Amino acid sequence: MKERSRKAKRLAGFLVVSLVLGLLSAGSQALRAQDQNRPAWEFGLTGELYARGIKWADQTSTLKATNLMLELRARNLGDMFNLSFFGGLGLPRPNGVVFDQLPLSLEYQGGSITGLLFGARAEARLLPASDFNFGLMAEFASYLGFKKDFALSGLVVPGTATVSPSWSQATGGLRVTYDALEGSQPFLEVAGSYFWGKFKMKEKIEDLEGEQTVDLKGSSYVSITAGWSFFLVDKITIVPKVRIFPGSRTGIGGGVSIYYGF
Amino acid sequence: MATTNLKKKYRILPVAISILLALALVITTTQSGAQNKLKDRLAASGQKSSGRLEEALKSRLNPAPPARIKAISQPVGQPAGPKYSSEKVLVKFKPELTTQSTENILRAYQPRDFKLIPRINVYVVKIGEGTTVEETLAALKNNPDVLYAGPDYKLRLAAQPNDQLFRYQYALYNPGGTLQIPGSPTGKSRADIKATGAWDFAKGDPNLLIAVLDSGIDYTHPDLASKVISTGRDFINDDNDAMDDHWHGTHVAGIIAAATNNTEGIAGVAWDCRLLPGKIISAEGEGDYSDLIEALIWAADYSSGQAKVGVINMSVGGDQPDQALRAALEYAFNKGIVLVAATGNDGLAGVLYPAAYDEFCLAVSASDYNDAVADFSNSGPEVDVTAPGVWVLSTIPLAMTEPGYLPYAFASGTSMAAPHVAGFAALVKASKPWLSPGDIMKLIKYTPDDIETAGRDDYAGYGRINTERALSPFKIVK
Repeated sequence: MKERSRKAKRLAGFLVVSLVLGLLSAGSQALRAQDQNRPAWEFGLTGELYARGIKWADQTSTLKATNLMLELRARNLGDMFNLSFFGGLGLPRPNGVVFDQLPLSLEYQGGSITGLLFGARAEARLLPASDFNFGLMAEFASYLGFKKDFALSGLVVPGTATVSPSWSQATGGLRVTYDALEGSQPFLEVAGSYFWGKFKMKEKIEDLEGEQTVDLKGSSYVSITAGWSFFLVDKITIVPKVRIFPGSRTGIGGGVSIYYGF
Repeated sequence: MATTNLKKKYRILPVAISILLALALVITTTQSGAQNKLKDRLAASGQKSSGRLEEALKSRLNPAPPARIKAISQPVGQPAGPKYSSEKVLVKFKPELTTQSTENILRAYQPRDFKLIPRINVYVVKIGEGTTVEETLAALKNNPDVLYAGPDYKLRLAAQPNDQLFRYQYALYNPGGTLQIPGSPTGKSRADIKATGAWDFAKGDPNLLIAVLDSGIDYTHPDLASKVISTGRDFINDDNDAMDDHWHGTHVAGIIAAATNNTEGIAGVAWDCRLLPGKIISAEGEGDYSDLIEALIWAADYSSGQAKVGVINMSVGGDQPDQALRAALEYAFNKGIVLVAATGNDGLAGVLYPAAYDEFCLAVSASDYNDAVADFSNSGPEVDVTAPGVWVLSTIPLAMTEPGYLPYAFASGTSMAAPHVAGFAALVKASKPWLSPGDIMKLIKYTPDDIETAGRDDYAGYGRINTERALSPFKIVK
């Protein structure tokens, strides 16, 4: 019974993947839109999931997050640069962070904390070489979490904990695109990535109060991103990508962006 | 053979363990400032006869042959950390595969090493360089030949001391059922201060001293000798030798910080902290407010190298308020010292002083092995918390130990409850030295288990202390 269900799941997965690849392939072959011919401005929507190793004091954990962002992209500025600004919602889950400098030590296991995510990204195409183009990329993103209250249940008096996390991430490095395909463009980015943040916790138990800010850092300083831009029509581009953060606590993520040119 | 020996031991125990030292110090005062008198009162029974006290001292623990008592375990303090190994995973393959093929499959994952646990055919795999447990498990779970792949979870052993008599200390860990204390009453499981759970996170600090202002401490006692920092100060005889010629102070001291995990005797709450004796009660069980006041100032100013007093226990009390006493308490409090005192053993409404000085002192009532407040325990709005104070086993002076008996005895009273809280306060202060005495008092008050009536009441205060809740990280969940 279990075996049959597993096979059914596998088959369903195969069908979904085939369908997506088929659509992308058909789209790219049929429409054959070239990168250069597309509009100079694009409006994008990005959804991504990732897990990134974080560390603080002598402890480590994994920050899992879901991000949903809108993006405005200016393309081919000076035939060289792409520049985009993005903003949206971030829902990180910094579970496992321990606040041991409070009167009553607290361990956060409260799940997602909604917040604002915004930033900017620049890409430069510098060195064409055969079918490849070598360039640089830089990205800065910041997340400001909304304050969230949790009741400290189980104590003999009322208690609350208020969390407010924030973090930033700066990434910069090489970007290589393969330009020989019609209708699509794979790319690879190898970059240094620095993550830093603060996770503030305020505790109030009756008249006992405390506050602690834990300084977070990424456990990895490198990110490798592989993606593929599919130009479905003149005005629509879809970009799936995967990213890993190799290191002592390797992180992994992925997402999809859809752009509409105007 | 072992069974026969055990049976023999248990036949003897109920008789020999018999009873008690139910007492405490109390204080009646003849209201004249520093001339107020402290007198001793028996705790639960309310008997005052020192003759009864001597009789009680004769009935003490029968010495159990140490060779027959095994160490329970080595202490393993395991603070919050990873839940599983970052280097190993456990894998089981489908049974139809041969060992050769399973090992070939494993090698494809480039492990550093692996070994097979026979009988159940589970592999312990040391994961490869540059990969993580999570990645390795994700890859293994996708392999159709793998029946099971999971992390190698960490074992957690509560920090349980190996002291020979720990099993009699229901106050620290109450297993429930028939307790091995006089009368063999039935106890409620975990009606205790959760010390074993707290010791996973804090065991104290040798530089944090707990001053015991009482009848002195027998600093030659084998379970205390290594824990008493100096011979202290005798305010009764005006010298620097606070040897206990009563019994009360030695009993209190053992509860707070007897040498723990030394395969001998009992465990103290403040495992690693040390003791400073201040003798303010005479051999007859009497004392004056002036001695307590002087001792408070002396203890607050005491230091020896890095060691300083962080907590003062006062299992003594008097009926009357006193401005000088209040001023001395305030002085110690303002020097960062947590003050703990017993509420008294009259079974009446009215908390004794110094416990009744609520702004500076934690007032501690006594509960029993069923989490019921003892009927002898004084009540009042100043009661902050309660702690076990009925049939509490602790150390007694060697000079009062008859040949063939161990130097330990059971006693009851709020005098026995307060030192549990003093030890607790020392654990908190040692692990969070930046907290003010006021904050430590609040933490102790707000983290107990609510017993008796719901919410704060005048008998148990906020409840029976829970050291584990206050010292372990409290989980914030949705």
